[in-house]
Amino acid sequence: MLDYFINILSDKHFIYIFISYLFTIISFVIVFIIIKIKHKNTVITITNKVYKN
Amino acid sequence: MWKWVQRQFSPKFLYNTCDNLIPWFAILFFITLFIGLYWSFLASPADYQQGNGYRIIYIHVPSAILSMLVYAIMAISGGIGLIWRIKMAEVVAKSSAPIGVCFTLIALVSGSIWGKPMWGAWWVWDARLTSELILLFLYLGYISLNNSFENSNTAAKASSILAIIGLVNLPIIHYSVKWWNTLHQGYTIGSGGLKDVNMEIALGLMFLAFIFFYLTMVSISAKTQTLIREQNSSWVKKLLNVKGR
Repeated sequence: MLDYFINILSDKHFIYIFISYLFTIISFVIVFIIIKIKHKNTVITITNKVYKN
Repeated sequence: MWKWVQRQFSPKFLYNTCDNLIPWFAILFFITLFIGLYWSFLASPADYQQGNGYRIIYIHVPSAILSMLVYAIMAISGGIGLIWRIKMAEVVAKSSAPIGVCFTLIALVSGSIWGKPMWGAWWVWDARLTSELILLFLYLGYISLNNSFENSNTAAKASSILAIIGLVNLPIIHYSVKWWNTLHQGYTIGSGGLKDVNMEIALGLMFLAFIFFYLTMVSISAKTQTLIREQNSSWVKKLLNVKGR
């Protein structure tokens, strides 16, 4: 099974595989951060409003 | 029956359901992702024609399918919100859009990266590629239209109409490889494109991982949108007061 992986590392297309997987992971992380920050900011804004009233 | 349906779409119920399900979706995402990556790199053999370069399809195909599926969910939810005036359907539609953009971008970029070694070009104005690019513009149009109105009801109405009109693009994307003589290869699933059972397992696992990613993200986003829409209701005030202490 490890043979497949060693084969990929020495493949001439390795860089293309690596970049596409890296791009996917970075996209997922960015989407997660944006959605999580928006949620946190919304909670803070509404909580402040609730306490003001 | 109608009462049951209304209960499922009540903001408080949707918020609590999302809140409870997020950890489970996240756990399932990581499990399927790690097993999927293991199967993609360690258990499935190289393709007899494309070598190892074909492994990009393990992210390209799920992201392309999800880009269409999420758009369909967005348009149908928008339609439900428009016809039955169920606010939570609008919340699901609005929450799905940014995640759909992410999947469409991954499909386009990974396809482009795969195209360079296989076709010798990063991009061709092929029917499949062009219609997928139009899908990206539809998502961006939906988001811009939704943010361009101050009144959330007007914004939801306008963007839902755009989403429903854009539905016509989905069969074009799907059947483009059949209707036109395209450079893009035919269907990967169901056409015998994958020659080894391990390739099918890897693709299935990665597809599940992408679905769980969507469910996790849409649940968090739906919670945010519900709070924004329901910020003046007593249950939100109570919830945030309790959480704030």
